[in-house]
Amino acid sequence: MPEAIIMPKTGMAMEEGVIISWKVQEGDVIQKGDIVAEIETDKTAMELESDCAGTVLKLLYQAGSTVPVTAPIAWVGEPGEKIPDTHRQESEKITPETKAPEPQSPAQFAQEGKSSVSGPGKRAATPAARRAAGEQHISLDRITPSGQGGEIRERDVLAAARSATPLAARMAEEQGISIEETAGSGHGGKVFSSDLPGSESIRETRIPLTNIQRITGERMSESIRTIPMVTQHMDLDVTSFMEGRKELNSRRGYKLTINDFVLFAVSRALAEHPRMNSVLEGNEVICRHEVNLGAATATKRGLLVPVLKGAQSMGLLQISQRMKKLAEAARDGTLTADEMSEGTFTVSNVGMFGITSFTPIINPPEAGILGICAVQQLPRFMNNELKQRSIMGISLTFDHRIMDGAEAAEFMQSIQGYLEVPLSAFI
Amino acid sequence: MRNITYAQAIQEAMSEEMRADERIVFFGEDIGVYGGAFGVSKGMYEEFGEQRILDTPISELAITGCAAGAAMTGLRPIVEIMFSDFITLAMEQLANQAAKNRFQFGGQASVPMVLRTPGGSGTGAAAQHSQSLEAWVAHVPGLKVVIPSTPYDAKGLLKSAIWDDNPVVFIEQKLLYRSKGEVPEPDEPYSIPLGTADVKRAGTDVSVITYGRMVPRCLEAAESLESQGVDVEVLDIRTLVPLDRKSIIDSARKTGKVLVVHEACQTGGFGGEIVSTVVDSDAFYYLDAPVKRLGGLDVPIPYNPNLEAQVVPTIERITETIHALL
Repeated sequence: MPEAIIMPKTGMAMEEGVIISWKVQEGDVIQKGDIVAEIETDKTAMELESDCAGTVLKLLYQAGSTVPVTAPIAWVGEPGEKIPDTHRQESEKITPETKAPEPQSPAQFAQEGKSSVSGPGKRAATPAARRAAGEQHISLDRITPSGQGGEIRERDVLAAARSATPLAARMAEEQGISIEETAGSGHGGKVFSSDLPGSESIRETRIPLTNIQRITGERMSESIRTIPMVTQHMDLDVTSFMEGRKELNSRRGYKLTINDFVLFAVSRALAEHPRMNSVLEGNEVICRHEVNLGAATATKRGLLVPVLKGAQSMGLLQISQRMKKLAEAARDGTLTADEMSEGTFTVSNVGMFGITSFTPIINPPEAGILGICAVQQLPRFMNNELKQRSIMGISLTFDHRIMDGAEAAEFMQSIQGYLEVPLSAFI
Repeated sequence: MRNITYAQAIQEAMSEEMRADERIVFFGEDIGVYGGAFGVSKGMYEEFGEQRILDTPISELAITGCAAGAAMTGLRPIVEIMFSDFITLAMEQLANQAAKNRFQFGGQASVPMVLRTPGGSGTGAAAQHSQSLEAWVAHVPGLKVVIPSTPYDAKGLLKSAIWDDNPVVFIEQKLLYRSKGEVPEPDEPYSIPLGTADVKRAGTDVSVITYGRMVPRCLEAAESLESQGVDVEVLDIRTLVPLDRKSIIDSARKTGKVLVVHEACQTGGFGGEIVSTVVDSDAFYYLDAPVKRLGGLDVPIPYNPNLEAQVVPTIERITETIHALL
């Protein structure tokens, strides 16, 4: 057990002594009779001898401290021994000039009939006021108390709540803005969140557009402003196509996607319908013989459209492999300018998100854009019998200046032909 | 309804039940021929005779022990202790026998007795005849404690006390014996269950929770505050045991400000239990001021009438304390 070295009581009238200086440090090994400190009594300065031996574990006061007589000033014992808990309270007295505020006695409280509750630190508030403040999300710090002892009453919280909406109050608190000094636009000057200075930055986060997003936005705006576009939806029964694709992939070890087949079908259909692969210039429609197929690709920087050039003469495998590389390059940000230009038609596939129809916007100066939607399992009548079928939606938007609805429908029917009867590709 | 006094209401309750059931007997000091020190039992000796109305020697211990024994062996005795101060003499039989027997016999015995006794100061009867000792008996499990504040409550609660199978300490208020109030005609039987508080005045600003003689005083204070725009609720708890905690909590929750008033000395008084009931409930979260107690000063009741009037809560002090809560 550690032993205490105490402030000695050297005379009947002595109540406290001052540690002038320590003669040992924590960790020193001392013998009985060693001088550990110089102390000052009410009469004289004297050297304090230890009446125990061991390691100095803890000096409880700094030199200069005034300590009541018989109070421990240091602990001596075996290294690592636990010091009794009392030293903690004692050590708080290390800085002699720090004086704790005198607590108000219960008698004072009773006599006055009210507490003097204002002061630094925690705000004095009644339980009802605290509850109301919690409910209204108002910090007690910004409430003016009206209690007789300076405490915050429920009515003060409610008054503060009436002066600002809960959101405004919370935002003001977070931003350190004074509600009282904010001109409110509501009834009776009630402060709304929009009244707070710089409220936008509190309610919103501003994210600048990337260059790609800005350019895409401009092009899309121009497109929808200038092109009279029409969107037509069609459901394709792709049951046998889906089965065939599955069989092909498993037999030949391919990883051909639905998209690959659609791009193939579109490249062939575009070759058959040149007006869909055209550009309007003045009063002329310029039909291109090359099918440069763009595939809208979502990337972190924005929407990119890599272009598969000369798709009309590519086989399915070639389309698949080339498209895969382009998409990767788009996502990696390594697409060249050439790989993104001179597109003649665009395909946008949102089927993987479960979208069943949408209205894609033409990528100018192209004549049309085809949206590929999800493949759903749906009931369909086949020879008066209800069957489970794989149904894929396609949404074609076209420039009504270049063609009319019937012509666009024929283009869709071509795609339908390739995807519903895959063997037609051989014809 | 007619207006009768608090004392008459108590007498009616006893007489009506004694006519209805001959197991009810009544004894105490000078309650027979003399009609009781406060005249409560006037005429009962003539009506029920010496077999059922017994004048006893001056021994509160014997009176109370006799009642406990009679109750356990089939009667339903009512006893009167002339001044509640002398419960102290009866305490052994009351606290150690009457209150315990039902429990210690595993419910095979019951002690259906009522100990009626007047309490309170204000009559110039000095320190040994003016105390309010309800907290002494409320602290003993097994005893029920009733303190009515009106003739109506006194009659209705005494009837319930007579028919309760537990010992009931029924503390009457000396200063209320001559007070009058509306009570139903004798042929309109009614009773008030023990453990039900009564809102004597509904209000929204402050709840004053009180009982006994302080009820009319608090109502007077409430009246005077009404003109100042303060809406005071006065809740009369009527029975200390069992205590209608729900009504206390509801009222505290409603107004958020609570003052507890009783004549008994504040320290260790029953007000502490009422305050605890409030702060130990969800009403705590609705409190908008410290819960206050206003009890008698912690001194023996002085003989000097000026001092006597000042040691118990006065209307002025009640009003002041309510103001401090606003």
